[in-house]
Amino acid sequence: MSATATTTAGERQSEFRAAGTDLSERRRSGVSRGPLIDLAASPATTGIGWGADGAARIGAFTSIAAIAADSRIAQAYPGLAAAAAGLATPQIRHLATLGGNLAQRSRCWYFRDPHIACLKKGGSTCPARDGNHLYGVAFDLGPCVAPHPSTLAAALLAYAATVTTDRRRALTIGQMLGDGSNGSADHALEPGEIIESVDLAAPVANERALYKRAISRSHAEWPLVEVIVRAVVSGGSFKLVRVTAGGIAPVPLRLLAVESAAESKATTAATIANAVAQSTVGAKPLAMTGYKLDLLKGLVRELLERVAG
Amino acid sequence: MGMVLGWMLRRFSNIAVGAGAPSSVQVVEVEVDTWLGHVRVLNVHTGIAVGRIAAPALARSQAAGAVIQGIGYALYEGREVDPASGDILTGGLEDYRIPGIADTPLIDVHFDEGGFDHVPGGSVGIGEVATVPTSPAVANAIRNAIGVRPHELPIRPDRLIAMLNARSAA
Repeated sequence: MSATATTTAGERQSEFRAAGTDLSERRRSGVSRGPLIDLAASPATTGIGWGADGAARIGAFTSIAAIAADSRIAQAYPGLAAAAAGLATPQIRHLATLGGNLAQRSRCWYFRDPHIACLKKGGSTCPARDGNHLYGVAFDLGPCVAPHPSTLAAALLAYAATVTTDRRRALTIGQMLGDGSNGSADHALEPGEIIESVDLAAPVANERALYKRAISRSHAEWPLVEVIVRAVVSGGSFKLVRVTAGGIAPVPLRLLAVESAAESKATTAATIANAVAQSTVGAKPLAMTGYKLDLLKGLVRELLERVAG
Repeated sequence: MGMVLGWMLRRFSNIAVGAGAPSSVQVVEVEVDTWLGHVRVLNVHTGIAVGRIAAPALARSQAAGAVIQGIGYALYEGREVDPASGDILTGGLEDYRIPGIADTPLIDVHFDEGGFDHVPGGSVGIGEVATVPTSPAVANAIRNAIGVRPHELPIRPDRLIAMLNARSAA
């Protein structure tokens, strides 16, 4: 997987390569043709470190499989571990890196087609908007209608994680990915900027988390919709609720209306039903993506019920 | 036309046209997640009548493979095109999806070996006959589960959600 690297006038856009799991596919198809810059692992970009307060720092070179298999991550940030275990295939997870997952390119059919121009390939319009956008966004927040592909970004958003690059510290997921208004990029990193690590604050006492994606097959499919719910439940009520979703917008979204509808309320069916109804606040589905709102409501409902029980 | 073809087959090949018709029947059990539009095929029983089985292990493997292929046809395989250019958008296995191992049900295979004594060798090919019933059987099982009959393949989550919403509206 890769991030966009330096571009100078008259030079083809070069790309970074970490594990290259997705980049190799784009090289083969001809979508990626510029020079490559191989990233080398360094102490700043490898390993999982823990602070005295229980906060974690995960190096950008950490593999998805290593995040999924780390017992301390699973205990402290179960939503992140479950998201890591739920994405792609065992082979991909074994190689692909955290940094590459965050900076990966769009899965849009039109972007992936070397014969079609689109906003993310220097084109002036989004051909999917008036074309076939079956897997497009249901929250139409920008000129490009492809959902952001990073599952880990959605999970890290639920944990309010921050990103350190070789140039900047403590970028929020929102700052790193932008708000979706720039249709020509998959993230808001500067040209040549490299993700080094991700910081997660110490978990809240007694917090739990769940992750689930809606897909056709049982595994190994890009999510139609995916949801992470973090919650502290005690005394029969939701004390803390964080809900984020991927697959529905140009960037992962935090579902604030769901959170405020559930937080400080009893874990009753009525509370959950009310919170579920808030899932689609701000939604702007395309002609072919209305079904994603049903899937989003289904996922929020299932995860809230399970985290409450 | 048929008579001419039959005469030609009898005259020029070892294949005889007779009363035995290759046939298969399948019973499919599915689970439908009505919140997430997800279908999981749990059990498939496939009964195939193509005469005497010459190579039981191969025939069994082909029958099971035919069921898995039929599940892909029913639930996953979709040739999506760009309406403006006609470009095929699902041109690789990343996007044109076939079943994975976790989508494979328990498969019970039964061969009814009689009825083809009039054919040299006592049997005919298993080929297509083994996979034809799977997708309609999956669709029928979904109909049985949710009360709405699918009319389009593949029966993806977006189509199931649309069917369920139409059911609620009715």
